[in-house]
Amino acid sequence: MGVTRPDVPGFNLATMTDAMLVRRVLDGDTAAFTTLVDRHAAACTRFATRMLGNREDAEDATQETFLRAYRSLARYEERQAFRTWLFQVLINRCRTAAVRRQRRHRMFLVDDDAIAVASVRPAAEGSDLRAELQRVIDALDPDQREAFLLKHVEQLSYDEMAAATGVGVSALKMRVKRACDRMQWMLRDAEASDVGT
Amino acid sequence: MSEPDDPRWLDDVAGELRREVPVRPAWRARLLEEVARTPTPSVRDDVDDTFDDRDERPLDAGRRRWSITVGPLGSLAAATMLVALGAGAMYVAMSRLGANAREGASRTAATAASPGLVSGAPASAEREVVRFELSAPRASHVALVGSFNEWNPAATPLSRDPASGIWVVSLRLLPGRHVYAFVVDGDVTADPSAPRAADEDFGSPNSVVFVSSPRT
Amino acid sequence: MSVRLLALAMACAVSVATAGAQEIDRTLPSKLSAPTRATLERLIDSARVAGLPVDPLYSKVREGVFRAAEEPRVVAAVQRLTRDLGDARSALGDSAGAEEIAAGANALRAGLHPADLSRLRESRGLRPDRPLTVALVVLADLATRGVPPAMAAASVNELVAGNVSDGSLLSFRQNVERDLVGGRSPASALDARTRAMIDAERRRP
Repeated sequence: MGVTRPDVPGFNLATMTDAMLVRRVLDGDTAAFTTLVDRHAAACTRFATRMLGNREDAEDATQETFLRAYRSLARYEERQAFRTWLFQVLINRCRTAAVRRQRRHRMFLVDDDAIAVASVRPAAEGSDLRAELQRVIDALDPDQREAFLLKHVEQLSYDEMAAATGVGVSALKMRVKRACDRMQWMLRDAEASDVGT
Repeated sequence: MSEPDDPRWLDDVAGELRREVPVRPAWRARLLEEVARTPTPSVRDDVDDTFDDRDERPLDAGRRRWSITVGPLGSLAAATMLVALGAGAMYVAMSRLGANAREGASRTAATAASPGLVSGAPASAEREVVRFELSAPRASHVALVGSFNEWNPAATPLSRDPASGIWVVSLRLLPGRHVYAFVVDGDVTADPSAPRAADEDFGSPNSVVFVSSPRT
Repeated sequence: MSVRLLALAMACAVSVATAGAQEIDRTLPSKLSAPTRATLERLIDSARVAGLPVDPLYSKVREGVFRAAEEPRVVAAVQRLTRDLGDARSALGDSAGAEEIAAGANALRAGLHPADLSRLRESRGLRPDRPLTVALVVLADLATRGVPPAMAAASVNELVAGNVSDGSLLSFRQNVERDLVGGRSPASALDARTRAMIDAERRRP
């Protein structure tokens, strides 16, 4: 673990709650922020990578997330889980990144009517499950992808998701359901196209 | 892995997607460098750009980390020293990123003062970020060992930029003299462009890095 | 591709490597045998009592363990370093800092005489709080690369007396090294680079 060794006996950043760590940072102990980074960077990187589909954009978004969180740390309120607050920033960063990328590459978003177009692109020779799943995820509408990842990968509760996304719980449930249906369809389709292979 | 018609398909898919995406040490180091350059947040701050979506910062800003430059890095306000490029396949550049805009080209970065980085260390000892670089395109694993990490080869692996073949790691070091070496696919090697330590007690020489105190 | 076909090749173990520096661990590795540890404890303790910096000694032990050196060799290295630290401290004076002493020990190891170190201290003149660490690092390096120690000492002395900065000293070292690699003789390289640096210093506003 990449934690600076504490120099005071009996004092261990690793055992502190996120809220306590935030308090320490605001008191001037920046090492406590390092601990927060180490706790949450992996999940943030994972979400951003799945959400944006590539490592570089994900790293930029995650970096920016932590920096903004650091600058605005005084605004974190302890009644909310730090992770939820952090994900709120991350989600916004990912949305911004996606919009920028869309402008750059002029990607077309998939809509429900074009479901025939939205099938998984043919799997390259020798590709593995992870790449295929990422393709399936990429083919989802961004709102659905976001909701699916938060619910089933990052395992936030619907209330936490609502706080982090600003979207109502029932709308989120609908998005998750649609995402699951779509993914199931795409995977079944991919499976079917393999028959006889 | 279960079939899509099987209700367990979702668990399998989610489980697969939940697989960890590694956090690169170089990414982490860069973030912590940036954090160190940022004023400590306080309850008196009025800044709230947490959710500001009008952020115009170009995404490319972060990618300059792989460039090796000589002299000041312009708007990044960092003094970089490129240590002599040795002959042969391997060269090492060691640069220090200082956070202080006063650094100019005339001061070589190895002793460029920079604002102290507050760490868990005693308040009077302020660490500086030192960046170690090694060009070893054919290596599969490079690590840094030295007096600052108890000569533990597992403690400080370098990360490789696939495009340039350059391995990098940044560390926060206390001011003073540190002895170190690289471990390249198991072989211990000194930094060819850094000052050498004279003792070869254990067979091969080490290198020395001197971290200046911000007060110097 | 069927989702059943996945041979989930597990990714390599993921680790978030520490990128933070640590302070010296002042314990002896348990890898060493008990008798060796006892010997080393005694050695280091004597050094501590004598007022010598002990961090370099602990670091030397760890380096030896890392390099899988035989225990007698580790002990010998610590003994030698202790001696060098003591000599360096004598030459540099009681007010010398731990870093200076460690760098001085290394310079002695490179072949410099204690008198060279004392002279360096005198060259510092009216800036007694200006640490000599970098000057000593440069000296040790040059001597290691084949520059006759006395010659290196004379040059660095001149630079220190001329109040050249630590950064410039490191540049100087780098330039001399380049010249040596290019085939220039140590005398010629030192001479040229010392002149250049002194001149540059004089021109400094």
